[in-house]
Amino acid sequence: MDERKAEEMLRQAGPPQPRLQVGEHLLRRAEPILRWRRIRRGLRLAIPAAAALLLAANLIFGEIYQARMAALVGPRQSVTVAADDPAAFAEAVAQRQRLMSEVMTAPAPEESEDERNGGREVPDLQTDRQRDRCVDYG
Amino acid sequence: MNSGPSDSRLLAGLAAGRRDALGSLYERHSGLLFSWLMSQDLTRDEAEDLLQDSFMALVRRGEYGDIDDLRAWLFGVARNLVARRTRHPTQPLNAAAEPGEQRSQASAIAVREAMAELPVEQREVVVLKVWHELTFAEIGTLLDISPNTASGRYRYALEKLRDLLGEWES
Repeated sequence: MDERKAEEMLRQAGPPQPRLQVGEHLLRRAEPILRWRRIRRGLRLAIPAAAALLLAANLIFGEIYQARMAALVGPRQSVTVAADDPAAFAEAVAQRQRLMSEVMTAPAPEESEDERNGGREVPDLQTDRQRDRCVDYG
Repeated sequence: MNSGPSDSRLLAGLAAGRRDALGSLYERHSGLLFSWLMSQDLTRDEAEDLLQDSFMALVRRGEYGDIDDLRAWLFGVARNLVARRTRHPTQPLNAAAEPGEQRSQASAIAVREAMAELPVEQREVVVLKVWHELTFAEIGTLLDISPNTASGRYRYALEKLRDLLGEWES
């Protein structure tokens, strides 16, 4: 027998193979580790997604809230006039001065004593004190 | 040689916890690793245990970015596991044929018996060369020896096998 034939016999004999159960058992043993990895990976993806969703929801509901408030208040009015529009600024100043002068020059309404005191009866404290003193010292 | 996704892709799947990735890696590398383990004076049960332990070491690792050659990495693990284990005096590779094995013809048994006569160092080279068709360079990488050493061991092993099988044939 030559070496080539010995090699051929070896090749025909073939390598030993592990039993099928070995692979199945390996997968069963590895499953808890792999499951935990899948959970961790899922969380890694879910947390940023949830944060982004929350942010988007916050923006959307913020816009909805502002729109509702605007609808309640009426059309939006600018508090200040743009400085780059001198005509509008001058008009706004004139309007404000006009309103102020109207308020200042308006005649004061007739008031009763009661109304001046805010509609309440003011106690006469001096008389009360004198009366108390008489009681104390006879 | 290997069809389907690359080892690195399967390792990425394994890192993500994919069971099918582990199944594919096992399918791809278990044969070579197991026949090498069987060449190491281990019983079939011991070889199967160490095969599982080698793959479990891979599963537990978790980070696979630094594994360039998975086959070499698994071999390194298996070699460490074998080194830590008490050697068994019997030679399971050769002696009795595996239960339910189809190749239980006389010549297959003769081959196994002849293989049992070889020293472990020669036997492992024969297993990798003949049954898994690795080059001497690849064998050298896996067993941490030079290609020339692998080639020399193979030559001595074949000479011995030729004599043993020649005796059996006659």
